Amino acid sequence: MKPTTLTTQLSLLFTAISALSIFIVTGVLVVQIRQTQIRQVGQDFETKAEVEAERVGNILERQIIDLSSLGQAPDILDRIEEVAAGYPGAEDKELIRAHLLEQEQRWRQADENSDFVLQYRTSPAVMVLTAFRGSHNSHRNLFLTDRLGGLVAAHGEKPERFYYGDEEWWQAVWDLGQGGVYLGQLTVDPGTKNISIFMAVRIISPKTFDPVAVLASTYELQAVQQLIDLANENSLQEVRLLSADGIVLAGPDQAEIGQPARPALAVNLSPAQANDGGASGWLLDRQNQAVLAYSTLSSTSQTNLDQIRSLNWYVVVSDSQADALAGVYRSTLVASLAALLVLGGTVFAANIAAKVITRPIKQLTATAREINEGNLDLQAKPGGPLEFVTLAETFNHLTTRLNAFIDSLRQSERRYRTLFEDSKDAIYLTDPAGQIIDVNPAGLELFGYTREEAQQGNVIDVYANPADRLRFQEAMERHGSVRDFELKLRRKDGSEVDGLITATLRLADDGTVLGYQGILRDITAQKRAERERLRFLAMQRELEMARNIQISLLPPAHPRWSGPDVVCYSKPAQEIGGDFYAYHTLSGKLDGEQAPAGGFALVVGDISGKGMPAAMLMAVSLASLQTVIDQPFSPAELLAHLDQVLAHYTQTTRQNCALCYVELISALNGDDRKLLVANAGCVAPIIRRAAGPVEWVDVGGLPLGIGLGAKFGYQEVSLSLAPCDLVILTSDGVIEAMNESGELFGFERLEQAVLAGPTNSAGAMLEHLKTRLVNYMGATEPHDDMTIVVAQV
Amino acid sequence: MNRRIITALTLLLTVSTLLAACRENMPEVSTPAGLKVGVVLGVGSENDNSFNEYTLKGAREAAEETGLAFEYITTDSIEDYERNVANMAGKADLVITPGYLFTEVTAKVARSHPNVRFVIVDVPYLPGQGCPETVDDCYSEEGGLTNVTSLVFAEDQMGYLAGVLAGCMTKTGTVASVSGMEIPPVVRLVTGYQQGARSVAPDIVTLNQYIPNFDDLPTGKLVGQKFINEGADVIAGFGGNTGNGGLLAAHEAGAMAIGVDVDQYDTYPEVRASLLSSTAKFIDVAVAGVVRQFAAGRLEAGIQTKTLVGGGIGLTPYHDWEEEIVAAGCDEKINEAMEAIHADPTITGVP
Repeated sequence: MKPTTLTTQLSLLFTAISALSIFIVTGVLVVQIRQTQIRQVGQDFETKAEVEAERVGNILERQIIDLSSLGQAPDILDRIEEVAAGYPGAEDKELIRAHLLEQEQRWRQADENSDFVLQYRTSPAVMVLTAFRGSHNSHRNLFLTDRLGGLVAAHGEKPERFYYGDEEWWQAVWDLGQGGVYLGQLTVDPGTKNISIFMAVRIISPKTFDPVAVLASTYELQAVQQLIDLANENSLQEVRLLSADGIVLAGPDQAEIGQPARPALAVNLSPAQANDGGASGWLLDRQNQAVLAYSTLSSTSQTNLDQIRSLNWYVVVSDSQADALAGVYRSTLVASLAALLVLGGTVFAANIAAKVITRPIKQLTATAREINEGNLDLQAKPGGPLEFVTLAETFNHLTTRLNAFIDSLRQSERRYRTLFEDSKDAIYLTDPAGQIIDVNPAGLELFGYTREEAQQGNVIDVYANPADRLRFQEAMERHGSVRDFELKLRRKDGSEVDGLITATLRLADDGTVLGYQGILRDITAQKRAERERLRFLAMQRELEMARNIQISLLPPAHPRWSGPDVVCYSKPAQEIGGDFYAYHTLSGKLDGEQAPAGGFALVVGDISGKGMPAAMLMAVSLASLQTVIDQPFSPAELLAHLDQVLAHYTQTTRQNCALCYVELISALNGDDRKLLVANAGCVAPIIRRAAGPVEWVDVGGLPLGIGLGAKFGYQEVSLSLAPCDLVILTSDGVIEAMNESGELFGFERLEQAVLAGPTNSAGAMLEHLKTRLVNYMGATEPHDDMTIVVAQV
Repeated sequence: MNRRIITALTLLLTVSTLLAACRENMPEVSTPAGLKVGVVLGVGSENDNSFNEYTLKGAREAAEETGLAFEYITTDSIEDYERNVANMAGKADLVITPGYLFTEVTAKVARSHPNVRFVIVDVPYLPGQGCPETVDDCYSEEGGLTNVTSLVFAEDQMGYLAGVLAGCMTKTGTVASVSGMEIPPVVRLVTGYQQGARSVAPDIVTLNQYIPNFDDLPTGKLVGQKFINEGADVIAGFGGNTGNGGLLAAHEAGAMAIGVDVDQYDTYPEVRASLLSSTAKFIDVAVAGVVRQFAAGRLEAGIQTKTLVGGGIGLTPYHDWEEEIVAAGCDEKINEAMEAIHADPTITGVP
């Protein structure tokens, strides 16, 4: 079964409690309301019956009063006296009675139009009666008797009798103890349905206050019937006036007038009830499904209440139960509907309430679920009761702390991950058996495995030498760690790697060995570099030696001769350079102590390229020069020869040698000097006249060693020199010397430097030029050998 | 002799009456367009041979004659009188109500509809009756009935003619009248009756009984019987149904009877055989007269008493008794009496 939500549970609980309460309350209320309302309906009916009964009684009361008043009319009282005066033997009752009985006989026998009859029916007293009837047309057949029961006057139909003294009703009225009023003799006219009663009142003499006569009338109940009709018109219930024996005297249905009422309407009024101050009541007749109220007659003035009550008439107000209690049923229905509405409202409210109560919990749950799914930044909204607020706040506090903790963990992890991922050294984790758990990218790259391959492999596979593994394990077991443990490893492709391992044991909290973790540094390159360095050092030593040799090949900077003042300078760009210079005394012995008789030769050379090969070619060039210099060649022939010789060496190396050769010929007469120049691709000599000007010796030619110089020959230039003129030879390196901006020193600057330089000695000029060069170049490393030779003749 | 001839003769006697009649017959002068005449009938049939029928007849004929619109309503219950009169006052310009049952209602509605003219038949408004006792004239501004015309009849003249007829026809020398309530119109009838009878036979015995109820036929009959016992052989009934009792008594006793107000030959056929004539109010003539006055714009408030002059009252045809009355010379005596009344209205005994 699916667990229900808290909302549902609370909602159901509230609803159940509410429903139970509402049902109980509604039930009790409905029963109470029903009973009250039924009672109310019954009492309303009863009140209505009482009201109508009183109205009926009032009508009867009114008639009695009106009749009594009528009896006070002077004509009536006069007539009474007049008749009484006609009686024989004023006080002899028997005599009078006999007289009256005699009159009775006569009355019965008399013609209707006889004066005897007419005197009783047309007298002024009758005029009073007819006037009365004019305003009381429900009364008919009024007649008046005197105190003895004899007829005095009659209006309307001719009375059957003349003497009434022995009639019960008359005696009842006359008898002082009976109150002087008679009501009775209910008659229903079968044809007209007119209902009438006979009423009689005593007439009191206003003079003597003694009863003097009885006035009788037949009263038709039209007014009463109209009253009841009106009551029926104006009410939803049926109102009836019933006689003592249950005859309907007035009611809603004309057909039932004069007929016995339906048994359901006949109220069992005991005579005691009826006579004992009246009676009224109501009942719910379940058998006939009717509500019924009754009331015996009463009157407002109650003057003749006993006589009116003695009729034992009663007013019945009735209605079918359905109609009478329609209001009750409606109330019940309304109450039930209201209960249902309230119940519905309660269910709704309960649902809302449950939702309100559980909303914080739901939110908290949702938040927790989200957090569980990884959204740690989420915060629960504090809401609802204080407990929930506290809970939410605690929860938030917890998440915040958890978040901070996770954040720090994550940063830490990221740091280590970065270290792990970005490390140039291989980092790895293994289990105790050597099974690889993780390797960083550097490790994978080093060994050429993918991560998957690595994780399926074992470290044993990468040991180039299985003995290393045993050594490593021994060291680990002994020390718990190793540092800079050197060993050879094998890549996936089989090549070997020099490695340096620093490793520790991975231990669980209980000290169990979980495996190893280590950093492996690839020192293959390092090892190779080390070897290279050693080799380089050896080479450097050799080069040092070569340099020394090379330096030893060049003659001293100052030739020890008595010839022209010559000074030489050569600075190789690398340890071993390609420039060289030479000087030679022509036509003489090579003995340095002895000055040449004829001339002197000066040479500046520049081997293409640098380093060892240049040095080697320089050595060869120098050697070759030394070999041929004393031969009787002109300078041009000398260079052509040299080209030929060197071409043999340069054929394989494609090197060449630029060389400028000058001869200074001293004339015999002393001051006349002659300069011969041949140039094989080198910088032309520059002349600084002692007189001031500077001039270039315009001579060029192909470098030596190409072979073409020998083929096409070299130009040879001759020019005169004055004493103290300076002849300056330079190598390419001087012209091509660069300053820090990469600008060449150039011919022009050289020319100006020479022009600005001192002419007092060759050495001074050389120092001047060197200073100029050094200043120009600044901190720039010379990229080519620089050689300068200065001679002053 | 035809009553219309008598009426015509009577009319000829007075030039002013003639002129008035001529003027009344000029509809083009007296027909304001759109005016309406309305009649509210009392309880009972519109063919009751009495007030309803003749009021309706006179009003309708005069309205047609003068070109006025006409409308009438019947009434089922006395309680509806006021509503019907007020209703008609809202529609008509002249409202005619027949009989004393309309007394209060007509006065009340007339006061609330001052722009409507009212004519009430047979009811005079007198101080204390329809207007305050302190007022001299009910039809004045202070009386409040300036728009009401009461159409009444000279009962003394009516009674006088009946008395002449009775006095002429009696053989016993005793004539009687069974009267209703002892109120002025009835008293005037009785007085005129007895004066008329004595004008024929000064020694004649006149019997009269006022019965304080207009609707007590049995008592009227008993009183009539008593009068017959006392020697009367002509009985006039002067009190509605009560008076009818007198007629009935006369009829049953083989005596002669004289009706009142309308031709009771029509309204009380049971006694036709005994009925000499009826001394009547010619309500149709009277009502037609006031309608013509209204159409001509000459209808004035106040009491208009209809007399022999103008044919407002008179004896109805003798019917079954024509021959005997003419033979007895009583017709002649009646004509003489009419001339005498015209010559001196006070001979009726009523000033």
